[in-house]
Amino acid sequence: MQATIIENTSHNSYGFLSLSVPEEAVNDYRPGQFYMLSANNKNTYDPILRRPFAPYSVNSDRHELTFLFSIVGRGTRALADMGKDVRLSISAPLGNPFKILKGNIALIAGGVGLAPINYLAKQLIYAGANVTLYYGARNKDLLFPPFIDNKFGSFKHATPKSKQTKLVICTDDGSYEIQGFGTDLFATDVANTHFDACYAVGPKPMMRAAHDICVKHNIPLHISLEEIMACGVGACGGCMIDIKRDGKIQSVRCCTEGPAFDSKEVFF
Amino acid sequence: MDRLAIKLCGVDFKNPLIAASGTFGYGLEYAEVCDLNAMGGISVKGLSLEPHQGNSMPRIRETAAGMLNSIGLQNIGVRAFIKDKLPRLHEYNTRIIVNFWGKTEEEYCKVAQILDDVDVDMLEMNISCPNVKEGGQSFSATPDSAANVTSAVRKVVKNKPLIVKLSPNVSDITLYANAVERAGADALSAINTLIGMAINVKTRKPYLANGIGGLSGAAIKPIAVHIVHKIYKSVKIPIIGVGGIMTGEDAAEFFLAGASAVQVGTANFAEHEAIPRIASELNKYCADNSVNNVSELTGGLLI
Repeated sequence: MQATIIENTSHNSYGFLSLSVPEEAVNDYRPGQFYMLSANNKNTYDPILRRPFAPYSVNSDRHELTFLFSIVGRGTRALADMGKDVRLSISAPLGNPFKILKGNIALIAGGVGLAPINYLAKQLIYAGANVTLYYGARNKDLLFPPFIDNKFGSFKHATPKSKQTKLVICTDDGSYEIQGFGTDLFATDVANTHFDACYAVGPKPMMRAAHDICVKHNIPLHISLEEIMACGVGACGGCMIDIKRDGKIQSVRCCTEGPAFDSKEVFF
Repeated sequence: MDRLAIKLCGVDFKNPLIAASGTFGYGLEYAEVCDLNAMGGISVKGLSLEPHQGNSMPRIRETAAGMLNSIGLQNIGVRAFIKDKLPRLHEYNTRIIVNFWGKTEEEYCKVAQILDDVDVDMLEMNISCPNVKEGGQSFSATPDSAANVTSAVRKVVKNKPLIVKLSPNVSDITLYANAVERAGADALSAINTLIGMAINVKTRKPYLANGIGGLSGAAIKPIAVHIVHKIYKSVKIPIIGVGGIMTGEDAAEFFLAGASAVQVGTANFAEHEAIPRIASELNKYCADNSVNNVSELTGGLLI
């Protein structure tokens, strides 16, 4: 499928891309799934592979997707440099989504892990969950400015059925709001608040910390894993990861069996 | 698109675009994202006698206009393919080519024998893998070793056209093309990936856990076109051109160089619907150039 760039902006080390996409690209999207986006120059086919990204938001009425991504390599740099109205190749929504759970939910987002968590939060709120979102980064520059400027802004318009939503923002160095790790703040809250489930997306050490807390308090935790991918549909064998399932170690495809996993299955 | 209909080794193809082995899984993985009925054929992931685990991760590394892979021929094994995948693949109107390989000549023959009796259209032998009985030396080590394994397989494959996929990592590929033609191959596919390496200069280690991998993608197309042309001049059997095809005009280049059909590999990663698009582009190229059937292009290079 082809998408057209509506807007493409950079915020510190983040790219933020809005795309107009065919209807079938947004109709069946479920939180935790990803899209593969091309970053190539059509004449050179370079970079040749598309990149997997979970969307930051999905607008199924306007057939629009937005993506928040870290500008880290030549693919993401090329993507960040693309101008308005450029057409690029996009896949259908791919991968195994998060299970949508109800009740009192903790969400932990580290850095660019905010992207899938942002949209998941919206869906959980729609579904009637009470959401507490812990969003952290190493420093203020690594917090996505439009999100922190807006303070849960995207959720305000979500007509929440839920009783409460709470946003906790923290930085490792204290350069913005609370100093500390999101997982530490979650650990403190867990002592006095009952959480029915937790979702965490971010660096592996962050997800491991979330896992340790959730195991201790017997809270189901769902996380999203990342791998370099070529096809994104389970055909190439490029994104294999080992997980614990049915009492044994299994090698599975991150793109197809994942990227969303129960943290109990994951080797941290 | 009748102008794209071809006959290859007696098998009718609605169009000459075949998904290259290793890039299209068992076909079914793409069923939700690509119209399998629009494909000329699918060459499924290389099968071995027993399931095979493949190499350690990382297995892929992108390079300039291409990629290296060292998947290591991971597959579910020939019997599981026949039982679990093939019946579902038969629901689609496309030709099924089964790529296969072995660690020994006996294994090649056993896999081939099993496949000769099932409902698939063609067999494609990968001879670029190591022979464990010869100290891990490749079956493509010499033209003789390539011919030996081909003629052994030829003896057991009685009902299906046999394609041999040639490795470009040899000094003179025409010697191999001639040798496997004499050994009974019905067609050749060329080229398999080119061996390459990419090094992380920070860690001073290769990016791939296996150290080396096979280079594919747009980057290798000129090499592949040249090799197809060289082979075309030295054999009589048809050639399936493969290597870096991204567009209909790329496919036309292979035909002009001497191919009778083409395979598309890495482009399937870059765009899941690549093959149906390339088919319609090739059809347009033919229409625009008064070509009534794509096979008229084969070997049409003017020099």
